[in-house]
Amino acid sequence: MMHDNVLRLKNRYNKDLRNTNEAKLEWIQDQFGGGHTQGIATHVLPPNMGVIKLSNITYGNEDEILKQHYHDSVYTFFGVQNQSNVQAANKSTTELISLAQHQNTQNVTCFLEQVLQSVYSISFDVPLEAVRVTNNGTPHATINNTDDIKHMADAELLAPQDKKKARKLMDTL
Amino acid sequence: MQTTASAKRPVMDVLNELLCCDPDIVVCANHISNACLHGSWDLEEHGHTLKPSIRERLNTLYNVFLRDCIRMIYLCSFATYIRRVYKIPMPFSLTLSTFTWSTRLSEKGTGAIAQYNINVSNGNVKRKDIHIMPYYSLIVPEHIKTPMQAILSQYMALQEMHETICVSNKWKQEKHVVVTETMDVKDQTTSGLQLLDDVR
Repeated sequence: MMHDNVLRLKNRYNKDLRNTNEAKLEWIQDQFGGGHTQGIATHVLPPNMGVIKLSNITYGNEDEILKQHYHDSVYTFFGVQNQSNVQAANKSTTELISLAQHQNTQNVTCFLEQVLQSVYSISFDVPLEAVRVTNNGTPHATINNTDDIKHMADAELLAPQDKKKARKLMDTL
Repeated sequence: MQTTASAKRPVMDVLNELLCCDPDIVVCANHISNACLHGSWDLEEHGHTLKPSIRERLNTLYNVFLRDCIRMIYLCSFATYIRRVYKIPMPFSLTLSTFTWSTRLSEKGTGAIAQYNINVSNGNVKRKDIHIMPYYSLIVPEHIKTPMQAILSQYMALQEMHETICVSNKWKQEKHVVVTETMDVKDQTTSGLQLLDDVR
């Protein structure tokens, strides 16, 4: 008689459960696992264990600093003004850099003339001293914008032919 | 600490990638090329100017060669050119990643302190066809491969940092969790242990 009066824990499929923990486990597996969905697994942890999801990773600005330093180094190495910094630069600084650029351009052009002279000499078996190479182009660095041309025109440095050349040069810029 | 992929790559590969693909370097090299190769080249041989047709043809080909030369100046401080004979003997720069270079001290009595040593790994280029015209003085220290050494180091550091950030972001995307277990040594009662065993 006593045996019949004892209430036993059972799941929805009428399976006997020994205790409440087993009931919880059964319910969790029934709800979230059970092999119905692929790629999902259920794990029940003991009460003394906790699961913490990692918070978002926040990066410092070291990479930005490094990137900016790299950009500056590249433009300094080549002697070219970084166009993104032109707005921030004042007029005198721009002029100074322009002069440095011009000198750099002249140096490279002179070297290229020597290279061409040597190349031509070797290629066509002509004595080196008999070959003369000159570049007849105007480096872009000498005239940056229309203001420069205006200053030259105001100073009456430009002949009519020069004005035509300047117009043509600005068209090609 | 795990080594990133960029740190394992050969320096020459990174250097070539830097010169060919990095936007800042390409912009600067193009800027200098445009400034220097703006006009045409006047060539005189024994005081006589070349015929316009020959001059124009040479100018076109020389501009391509010189554009490569400018990059070579900054890469290895010398312009290397070879002579290839078709109908007209023309100079060409050695293609990047087909050659390596090093410096070695010259033997005594030669009058020079050091000289370049070029090894062509790919292509049918004869050693006698290679000519060197240094733009900067010779770089003797072994650890300095190129005038762009400082930029190269910064570029590699930047690449390494970028890869590290990408790896950590990917790791984060996989929703990593930390599992902790606490155990109170003062309260190891029979019921408490029983509870843990039941769950396990």
